[in-house]
Formats: sequence, C-alpha cells, structure tokens
Amino acid sequence: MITGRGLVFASAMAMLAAICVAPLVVLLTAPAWVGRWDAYRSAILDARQIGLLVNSLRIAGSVAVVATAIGGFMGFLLARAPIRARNVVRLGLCVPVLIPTYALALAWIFATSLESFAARLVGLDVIVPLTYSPVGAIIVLAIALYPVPMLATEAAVRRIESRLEEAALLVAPAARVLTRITLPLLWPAIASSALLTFVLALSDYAVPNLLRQRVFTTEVFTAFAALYDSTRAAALALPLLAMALVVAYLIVRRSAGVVDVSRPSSRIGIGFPGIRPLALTAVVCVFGIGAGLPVGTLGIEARSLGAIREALARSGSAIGESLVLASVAATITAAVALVLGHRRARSTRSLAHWADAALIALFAVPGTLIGVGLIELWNRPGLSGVVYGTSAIIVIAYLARFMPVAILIVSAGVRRVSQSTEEAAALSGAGWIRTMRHIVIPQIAGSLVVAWVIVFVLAFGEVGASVLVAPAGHTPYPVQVLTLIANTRPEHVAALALVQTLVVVCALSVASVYLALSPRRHD
Amino acid sequence: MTSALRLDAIRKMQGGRELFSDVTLDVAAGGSVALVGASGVGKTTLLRIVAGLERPDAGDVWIAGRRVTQSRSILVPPHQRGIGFVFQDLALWPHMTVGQSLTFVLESAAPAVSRLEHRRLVDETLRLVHIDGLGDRYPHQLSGGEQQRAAFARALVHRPPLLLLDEPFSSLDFDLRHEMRTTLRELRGAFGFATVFVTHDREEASAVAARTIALTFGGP
Repeated sequence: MITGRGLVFASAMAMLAAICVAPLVVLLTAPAWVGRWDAYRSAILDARQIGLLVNSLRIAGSVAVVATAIGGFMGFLLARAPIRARNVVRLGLCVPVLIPTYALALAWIFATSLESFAARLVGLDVIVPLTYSPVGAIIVLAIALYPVPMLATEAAVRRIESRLEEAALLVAPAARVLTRITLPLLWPAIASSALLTFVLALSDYAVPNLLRQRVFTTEVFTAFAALYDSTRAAALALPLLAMALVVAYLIVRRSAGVVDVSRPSSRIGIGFPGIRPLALTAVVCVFGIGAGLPVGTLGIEARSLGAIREALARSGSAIGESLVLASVAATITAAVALVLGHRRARSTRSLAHWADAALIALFAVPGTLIGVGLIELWNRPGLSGVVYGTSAIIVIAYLARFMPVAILIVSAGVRRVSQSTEEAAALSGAGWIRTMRHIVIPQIAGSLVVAWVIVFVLAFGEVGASVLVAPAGHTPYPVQVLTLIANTRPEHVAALALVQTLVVVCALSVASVYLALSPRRHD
Repeated sequence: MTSALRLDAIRKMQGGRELFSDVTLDVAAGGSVALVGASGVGKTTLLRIVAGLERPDAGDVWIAGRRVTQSRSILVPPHQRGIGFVFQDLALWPHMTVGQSLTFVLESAAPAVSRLEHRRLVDETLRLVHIDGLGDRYPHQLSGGEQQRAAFARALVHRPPLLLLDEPFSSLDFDLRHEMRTTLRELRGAFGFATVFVTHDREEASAVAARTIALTFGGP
C-alpha cells in the first residue's frame, strides 16, 4: 500500500531525477544516439581538450589554494578571536559569495582599466596586463569563493571538542597545541572545502567569459551557442562531470569523520585574546577587498544616482521578472529540499554518504552543461516544446542548478534535530505529514529560510544555464547585463551590476533580520 | 613536607551566582583526596581551576610549593604545572594512535629527553596500565575499558606528581569500574603521585581516596 509519505517522497525523487539528472544523461548520450562515437574518444585524447583541461585545472586549482588560505584563516579567526558582533561580521564577510560573479568580474575590469586609480597608483604596465589574464580570473574567483572554506573552517573549529585541546594544553604551549592537535583535527574539513571551492571555480562561466579565459565552461557555451555542436559540448562535458564526481566522492570520504560526529563544542577551546587587533585588521582588509572594493568600484563607475535610475527604468521589468522567477524557484526548491533533506538526514550512514556525494556532484555541474542538457531534453515538439518556449524553462534551469545545495542545507538542519522528537510524535499517533508540520518544520525553520535565501540569491545571479535556455522576450536580468556589456556605455553596465548587487544585499539583510528576531530558532 | 596541592579560599562565581567560596584544601605529596557532591555543585570547575583551565574569582592555588594561580591571575600556565588529568569523557585525540598521543605528551613535557627514553617510557606506561601491544591503535579501535586505560596512560606518561581525575569511571560497568580502581591503586603504588578524584558516588570516593571532602552548594 502506498502511504502519503511514500507518495510525497517518490514525487520529490522523480522531480530531482527529471530536473537535475535527466538533462545530464541526455547530454552525455547525445553523441551515441547520432552515432558520433568519436566524440567520446576526443573527450579524452584531443590535444585541444588536454590544453583546455590544463588551463581549467590551473585556474581552478589556484583559486582553491588562494581562497582556502584566506577563508581558512578568516574562519579560524571568526571561531576563536574575540570579535564583537560576530554574526554581523560573518554576514559581511559572506557578501562576496552572494554577489553574482559577473558583477565581481566587471568590478575587476573597471578597477584595473587604464583610467583606474589602481593603474595610476601601481603603474599601467603592472595593472593593465592583469585585467584579462589568468591571474585576474584567479583573484576574482578567489574573492568570490573564499567564504566557502571560511564557513566550513569556522564550523569545524566550533565542532572541535574543547577537552581535546585542554588535554594537550596540560602538557604543551598553545602554539604547539594549535599545530599538533587543532590543525590536524581541522584538516579534513579544510581539505573538503578546498575541493568544493575547486569544483565551484571549475564550473563558473561568467568570470572566465568576461576575462577572456578559455576554459571548459566557456568552450561548452561556444560549442553549443555559436557552433550548434551538441556532440562537441557533450565531449567537453565528460571531463567536467568526471571531475565533479571524483571531487564529490573525495569530499564525502574526507568529511565522513567530521561532518556528522558531533554537535558544536559546548566550550571554546584555545582562546587568543591577544589577537583582537590582528583579527580586526584582517576582517577590515578582507571585507574591504571582497565586498567594499567591488561595490565601490561599480558605484564610482556608475558615476551618479541618475545612471542607476536610468538602469532601473530601462531594466525594471527584467529585474521584476527575474525576482519572480528566482522566488518561484526558491520556493519549489525549499519544498522539495524539505522532503529529500529530511529523508537524507534519516537514512543509514552509507546511503547518506552516497546521497551527499551525488548531491555535491550535481551542484558542481557547470551551468552551461545544464543549459545544453535542458535544451536537448526540452526543445522538442509537443508539450515539452511549449514549456521550453516560456519562462518556466528558466525556473527549471534554476531548480536543476540549485536544488542539490538546498537539499544539503536542509538535511544538515534536520540532522541537528533529535530523531526521538519525531518518534515521540509518531507514538502519540501523529502521521508523517502532521509530524513534519508540527514537529520537524518548526525546528528547522531557520534552515529552510537559509536554503530559500541562498537559492533565491544564486538564482537571481545565475547566467551559465539561463544564458542558453532563456526564451526570446524573457531574458533574465543578469543575462541581459552580460549581453549589454559589449555594446553599452560602461557606466550603464556598472549601474546595472550595482543594482543587482544591492538587491542581493537587501535580500540577505531581510533574511538576517528575520533569523535574528525569530523567537523559535532551534536550528 | 611540601604539599602536592594547596587551595586557599577559592571562590568561583558562575552566571551571577556564587558557585562555591572559601574552598581550602591541602593534599600531601602522594596523598589522595576525593571530592564528592551533587551535580552542578562545581566539582569539575574546581578541578579545572587547579589545572589552570579556568580562573577563580578569588583565592590562591599552590602546586608543589609554588603559587600557580593568584586570585584571577594565572601565574603558571597549565602545561608548566606538572599535572596529569583524566577527563570524564577521556578526550582522547582521535587523529593519533595511543603511542603517538603518549609520545606527543613526552615531546611536549620533556623535550630534552632522548627518543629512546621516550620510547621506553611509553612502553613502560602502556604495560603498567595493561594495554601493552595496543600502542598502534586509534581510540576508535579500542574498547571502553581500553580507552579508559589509554587516558590513564596519557595522563601519567610524563610522571606528574599530581593526578586529577574527573569522574573517570562514571561510564563503566560495575566489573570494569572495580578493575580500574585496582589499576589506579597499582599506579599510585608504582609512581607515588597525589590524586584529586572527583565523583558523585560516596562509595567510590572511599574506595579510591584516603580522605573524602564533600562539596556543597556555596562551598565545602
């Protein structure tokens, strides 16, 4: 007999499979359907492919190293340094990961242009060659992604049971405890976050596109959008997907002993009261470079409030539509994530590891690949063709990209809720839906809000998939900005990017206020 | 004769209320004292003050004739106090084998001593706590009783003159608890260290210590 719970779970799973997995399967099998087996061979042996691989790995690897060095240090400071208004500081330091990467890349272009202050200060011959260079891409992506290892490191530091450090403090000075006890305990979390940063850098499309770097994601776009060669796109997809899978497996394996084993430690371990000035300096510098500098550069480049008003007047409808589409995607995603995140949190350890690996791999799939896969899947005669011609396909693209990360966030929230609270409800006669509504959801409301906001913000800035699937007349705002760059005045583009950034910051602020004021915050 | 531990009028506030005050205690070298009291009375906090992991609000702590804490000031950091500590939850380092943990303690507490001597001390300590042959195991590869013995080995490998024990047997079954009490007596006989043993069980207190002091809310 099919229960209500089984039906809901099956529907959510079917949605995940149809939206996230099916486009990739269609994309990867496309050459086989048309007998182009050589595409698979060229995916591995092609000299051009190997060159792309080296370039992509070099940029993504450097980003992972730089972002992890910055993020790891900041995460440690956030956990251990005596910082006032820690939640506000953390939120401020997270701003770069939520600013669309295209806006950061634009700010970089403006900041290193001929007329820029940096060029005048350091010298044209030093700064200008960096604008469209691998170094530029590495800097921009490292700024965009350092919050990932920062949050992971902070969480890992807080999870270290303080007694492990105290036991060492009885025989060794703090510096030795830090290197021999604390850092080895943190290492799995730091390594996992570095791997995640690596795949996120590998899957970014906007930064290499704007900074003219030839990497897999830009080649996929060129192969499909310019050359209409879906088999070439499939060949380019193979190494990316393989890397996403390997990295996801490594992350889950490395995190196995770290992610689930304990709640945050009840006491803080080694404290560093003397490093407050260093911590404050680091926070100011990183916030200044990560958020202040990009927003300030865009503001200066936009020149006046008039330019922003003009941008709003010209693109107001696109902003409105993008906000609606991102909201719809975030709401659907939160609903699916509630069901699947709960199921993942309550599954066996081995199943949970495989589920996490699959979800991380799906999240790491570049937007351009998802875009090509969605076109292959939906651009057909009949009902799918009708859907493909509407803005619903953009929502589907957002779901395909961000549903996995929402499931991971919600499942982390559910894991912090004692299973016995649900069992007590079940023993009292409550059914699954009633238990979810009255017991689970109130306890994980914070995680659901966080998942909603993150998906909303990421969807609002998404370009990799939506640049390919957006139907005529329904171009999302960031895609519109990206296509305007080549033939619009810089101040107009800067104003558009600034508006988008301000919308993101507003959404974050509202969510933060809600979470701070929420009287029933259990998770 | 110099005391192994002396507490002079220790006072501690917690959450705006007085946890205990005027706690005075003298433990002779090689002596043993058990601190008993109900949950939340501050037994563990007092032990942490002795170790230098927490500051009192008033009072002095003396270890081996040396003042180590004066009122709110930590005069001697924990690692220079020459104490061993067995935590209630053992706090074994999950990323180190038992042998590595013991070596880490020796390298930190006695860096001038040769590696050969470190090795000898590790082997001897493991033998004395009856887990010789388990030095290459990680904590999760040990049974509950073996973990308990590994925690004792780590606390004693550098031969401290004072051992602090925070309800170390609370999670053990009756037989194992009895066995560990015997081991503790054997170790005291072998090394001659003084002990301060925290427990809420009066029967256990009289079994492991020559003197029992009851800690009540507000002080002894």
